[in-house]
Amino acid sequence: MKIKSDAKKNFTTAAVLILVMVVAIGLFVRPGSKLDWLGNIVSVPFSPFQKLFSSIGNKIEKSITVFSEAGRLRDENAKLQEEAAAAAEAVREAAMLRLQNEELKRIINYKDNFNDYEIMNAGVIAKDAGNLFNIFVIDRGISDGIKTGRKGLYSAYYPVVADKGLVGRVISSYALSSKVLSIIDEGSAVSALVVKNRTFVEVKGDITLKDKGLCLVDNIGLGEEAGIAPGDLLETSGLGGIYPKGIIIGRIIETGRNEETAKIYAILEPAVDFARLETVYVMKSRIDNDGLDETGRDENR
Amino acid sequence: MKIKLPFALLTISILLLLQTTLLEYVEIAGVKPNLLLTFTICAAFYAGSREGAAVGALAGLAQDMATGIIFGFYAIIGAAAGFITGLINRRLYRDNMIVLVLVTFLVTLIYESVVSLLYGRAGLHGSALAGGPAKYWFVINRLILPEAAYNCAVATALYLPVLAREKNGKIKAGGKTVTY
Repeated sequence: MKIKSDAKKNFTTAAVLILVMVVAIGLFVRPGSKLDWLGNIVSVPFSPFQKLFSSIGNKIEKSITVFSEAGRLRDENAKLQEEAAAAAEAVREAAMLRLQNEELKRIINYKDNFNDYEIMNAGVIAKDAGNLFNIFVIDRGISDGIKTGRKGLYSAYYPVVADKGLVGRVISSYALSSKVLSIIDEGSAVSALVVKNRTFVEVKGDITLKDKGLCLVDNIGLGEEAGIAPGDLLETSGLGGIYPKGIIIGRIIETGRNEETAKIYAILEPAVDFARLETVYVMKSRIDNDGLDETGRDENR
Repeated sequence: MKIKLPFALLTISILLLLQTTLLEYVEIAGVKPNLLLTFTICAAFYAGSREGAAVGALAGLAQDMATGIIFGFYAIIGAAAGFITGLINRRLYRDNMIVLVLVTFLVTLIYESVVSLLYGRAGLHGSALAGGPAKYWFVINRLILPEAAYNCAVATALYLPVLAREKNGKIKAGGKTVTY
């Protein structure tokens, strides 16, 4: 009988509890219930611990995720790195092609402007053995039609240019190579024109400026009427018969007056960077040494 | 003959190749060593004036062909440099590195001064004196003296193995000097 009585008591307790809970749910379910404060009994003391445990849990989860996804991430990383390298290579190639394109445009410009000359590319294969001079060797020679020296009434000259301007001229040629005297060499002198006012000057190599890749501008004339100033562009004048008129030489970067001679001088920065010279272009006149063009017609008549 | 012709020709060829191509990458303040001259000095220091002159002439000829303008100019002054170094060698101890360094410095100074003063390059070049003393001082101070110092370092590196071999030879020969 005792058992029966206990079961009845339990049933009653459960029924009361369920009833209380149903009532409580009814009261709590309304937003802004007056019984909401009861939640603070648990939430206030527990929330810091909840945060801590949640954080620990998150970290553990992340760690587990990292471990479990390490392989996938490694593969993805490798793939991304490959893609980044390919993109960088593509950018580099594009930049190189743009430079080559600009260079070719300038060379085409040479071909258009200097119709009497055949433009031949050449690689620089050796530099001067010593420290005093600036002569270099190119991989084009007699076999390519470069024949220096005097023949009959005329001397053959082969100006050498790079995409940006004048480099120098061929001074001797051999079967497969030629020696080029650069404009920064002490032995070089080029008749030049100041583009802005058409004044004739002389661009000379100078041993004290050679290592900086600069030239001296001489024969500027007396007085300020020479009108030469930093930033002025110089081109070949065509006088002297070695270089055709109109090849860019460089820009003036400094002017001054020699105290001893009272002469005005200027320092020119060549358009060509001689420290990084790899490819040059030899200008071969279409008129041969005897003054006859390719068809045999006398060009000098 | 202490220096065999094939060895001299091979060494000169290699040095010329280096001198006109890769050496620009080891320039210090725009100055590179002169390997051909240094080899001539070492050869003359080791073997005497006759062989020194021969090596100098061959090295100079190679330089004339590679980047020279007046054919034979470097050959003549190379031979002279080798001959003079060989004469010094006869009077001084050739197994003394300090002597070699001093001789290299002196011979480089004279050699390059002669080049800068006399090398008219068939009308292409004016003598360095044409620019006045200031310019010539620049040439000496900024180009020739640094090159002389650079050559001394190269000569030491080139001659050390020769010296080591020579000392080995002496030990093997019971302290007597032997000729190779």
